[in-house]
Amino acid sequence: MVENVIETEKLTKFYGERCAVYRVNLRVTKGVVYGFLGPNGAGKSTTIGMLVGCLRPSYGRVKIFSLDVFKHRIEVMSRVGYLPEKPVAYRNMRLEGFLEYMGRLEGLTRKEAREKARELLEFVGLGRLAVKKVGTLSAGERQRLGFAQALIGDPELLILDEPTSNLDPVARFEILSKIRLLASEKGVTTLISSHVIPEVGRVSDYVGIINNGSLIAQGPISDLIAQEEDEYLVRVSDPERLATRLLERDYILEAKFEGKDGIRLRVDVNNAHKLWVELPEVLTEEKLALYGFKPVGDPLERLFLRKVGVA
Amino acid sequence: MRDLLKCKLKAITLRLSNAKILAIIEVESKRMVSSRRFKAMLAIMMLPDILYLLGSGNVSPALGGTKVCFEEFWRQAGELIINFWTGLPAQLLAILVASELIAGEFNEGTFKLLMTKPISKSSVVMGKWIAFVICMIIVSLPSLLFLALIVSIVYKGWWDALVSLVSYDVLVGEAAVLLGLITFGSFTMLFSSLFSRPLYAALSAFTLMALYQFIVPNLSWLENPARYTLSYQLGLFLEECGFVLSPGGRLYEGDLQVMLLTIYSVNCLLMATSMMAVYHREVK
Repeated sequence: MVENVIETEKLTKFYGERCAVYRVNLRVTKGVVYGFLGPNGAGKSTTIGMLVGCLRPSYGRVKIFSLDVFKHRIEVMSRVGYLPEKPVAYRNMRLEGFLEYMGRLEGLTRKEAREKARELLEFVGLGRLAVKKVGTLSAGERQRLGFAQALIGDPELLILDEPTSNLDPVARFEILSKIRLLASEKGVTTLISSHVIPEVGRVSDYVGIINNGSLIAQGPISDLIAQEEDEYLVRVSDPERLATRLLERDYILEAKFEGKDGIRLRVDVNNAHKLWVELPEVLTEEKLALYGFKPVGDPLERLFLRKVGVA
Repeated sequence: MRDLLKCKLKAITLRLSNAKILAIIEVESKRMVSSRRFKAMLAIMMLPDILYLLGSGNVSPALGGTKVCFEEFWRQAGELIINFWTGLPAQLLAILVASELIAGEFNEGTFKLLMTKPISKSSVVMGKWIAFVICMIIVSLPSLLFLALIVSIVYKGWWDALVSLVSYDVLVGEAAVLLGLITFGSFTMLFSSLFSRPLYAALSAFTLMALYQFIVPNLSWLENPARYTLSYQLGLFLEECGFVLSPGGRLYEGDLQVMLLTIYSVNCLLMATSMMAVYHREVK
């Protein structure tokens, strides 16, 4: 039986008359990386606020590790690591001291917390800044510190609200790799909220898409994008001849000419691999010169845009 | 048996030193002590010492003997406790320091971090309050000790001066100052839990506190309305504990036990209300 680490039931939140989150039934199974996608203002942070017990739902329930978050807050939070959307820390504290404090609040002894703090500062690449004050850090460094803070209690569940905002591409890559590493090596279940879809697609197994406060899609990425199409741009010496040959195949849904030597192919995502095998064969048979071949866009991005009603 | 006791004691010490609330007390005390508000408070609390040091040459033991001068000093010290060390300037500073406790965390956004750690909200409030009490001891004790030291050196000599640092008068004086400052702190803490800006918390607490102290003594339908103020009750505390605040007789009338019980209850009530306010607050 699949064990749900996060389970919400008709989770609803009103701010006055404005409904921020409406009847969200989130299911995050153990050991997965769950991408929580949505445009700005869709209700991601409000939902997360309710998951970590900072906001009270107007209606509905939140269960983490099968425990009600509001009735068993301390038990639940001792197993959860949380990175807020805007990472905050005490400006006058040193990085090491701040992490040590957070560790002690997680129940570690002073010595354990100090050791763990040093280890995590190295892990997130801030080891050389250990004695610096938090107030002197850049936004990206503070984000890394926030990530370390979330990991200090060796959590079984990580809830990361926009973990890569403020980060440069290298740091983004590093943090995402670390999230993946934690999931694969330590089995840490992770919920990442973001509106940067390709990033989420790269690390997640599951996604949930929220728009206007409602969860409009949820499930394994492979299942969700199965209904989507892949797009490829092929540049060849005779595009018309190639299009004629390819359209004989049922997995090619559409071929549009682009420029004097290009064709944009829309391919059934489940059989996209066939194109990779058969395209070289067709090119050889027809004696066509290939100038270029590249996938266009991201099926997850297309799914997201379609679901939120943009495409 | 001895080893067993040693082990038990070690286990208790270890458990206590690793308690989450201790981490809050330690960190909060350090943060408060290193704040500018605290340093300003410390400087202002030392002001009477400096004035006394500069003016002590005017009082000559030859006029009435050292004993009379010494008694006169403690009478003045009692007045200082009521009018200065727990008076308006100290109230304002205590309020400014206490207003940062919770509202400061909301303002900086760090309260969200505390709320997502496995620690109860009441422990957070209690830890911060204890840290405030520690800071008030640090801020008030040096001024009182320094004054006692100066006066003892002037009237009694070095050795007696050192002995007088742990005297009954110093302890009573410190207790009175703490009773006052802690009550102001608890009152401000309630506002600090209600507002997200320390300035609003400080302004509300100070306005209400000042209004209370100005209005209540003028309520004609109450019998001796001044006794409902904290300064009156602190005067009562000092007199009951042996301070002579008026050479002609007692200035303050009342029951010490009732007074202590009232202050204790008020503080407990304020703390409980602060905890409830924090418990019901949402952190966006």
